[in-house]
Amino acid sequence: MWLYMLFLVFGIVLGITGKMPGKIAAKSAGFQFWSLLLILFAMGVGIGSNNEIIESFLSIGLHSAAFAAAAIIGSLAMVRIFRPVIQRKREETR
Amino acid sequence: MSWIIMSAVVLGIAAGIFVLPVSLSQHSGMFINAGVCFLLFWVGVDIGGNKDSLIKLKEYGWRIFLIPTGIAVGSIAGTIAVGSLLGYTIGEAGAVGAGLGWYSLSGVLLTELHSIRLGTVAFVTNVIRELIAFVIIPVVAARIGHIEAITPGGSTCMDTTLPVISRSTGPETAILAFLSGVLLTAVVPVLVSLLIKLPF
Repeated sequence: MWLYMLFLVFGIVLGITGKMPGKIAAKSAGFQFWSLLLILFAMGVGIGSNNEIIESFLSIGLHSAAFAAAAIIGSLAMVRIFRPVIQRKREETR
Repeated sequence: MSWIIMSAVVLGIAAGIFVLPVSLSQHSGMFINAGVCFLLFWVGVDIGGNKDSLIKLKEYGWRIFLIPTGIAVGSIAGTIAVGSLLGYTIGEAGAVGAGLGWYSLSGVLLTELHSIRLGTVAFVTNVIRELIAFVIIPVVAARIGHIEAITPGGSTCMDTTLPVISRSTGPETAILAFLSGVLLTAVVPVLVSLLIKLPF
């Protein structure tokens, strides 16, 4: 976690101070896109090469899929309920 | 975007099963860590280059905490609701939801504190949550809202799903997502340990 924070903060500092050359900063979206695809591919490799995970997917996959969907729907619904409060604060401070 | 994301994961799974030797594929975690660091650096450059988004953060004040609170409460309530239909106790189902996408920790914790089966359920649930998050974040951002796009990833919105949130929304939401992910990551061990001790 600290390593991730370090890289993020380093990027923010370079972005704020304008130390990052414009030509390189302009390619940020491309760097993010291709590295994201590589990460996802590596994540897939990690799943595919782990027999324990593959077998677990088959044996308890339905329960887990139901839990995962419920967790996402529940969190989406709660934040949707909170949203007017969050947005109201922003409008008040303008 | 969602289809490209899904294709990359599916291709990786296929390569892991059929193509790549174990000696290579066992290092996938190292690639992921290095890749996430590289990605976060560029997300940081985007956030830092957009100073307005940092200034706007102050406007949220303490209400920023409503985002991770909503994600944690909603995730746990959702899994308790489904778990009661599947025959799990409130503590078991709540603890699975309290993993909030952090599959490695929630799987290990529940294996130690409860059973291998529940640990495996938590592990697979949170792997599936992350996979679903990658696919639906762009859709949620476009059709429901930018703040709501933070929710599917849970604790992973501070690392693996952050680039997808950043691309689908913008620097302002990206930093909200990162803060939310950090807070959720901090509470996962506490929530899982507390919920699994419930006697009902």
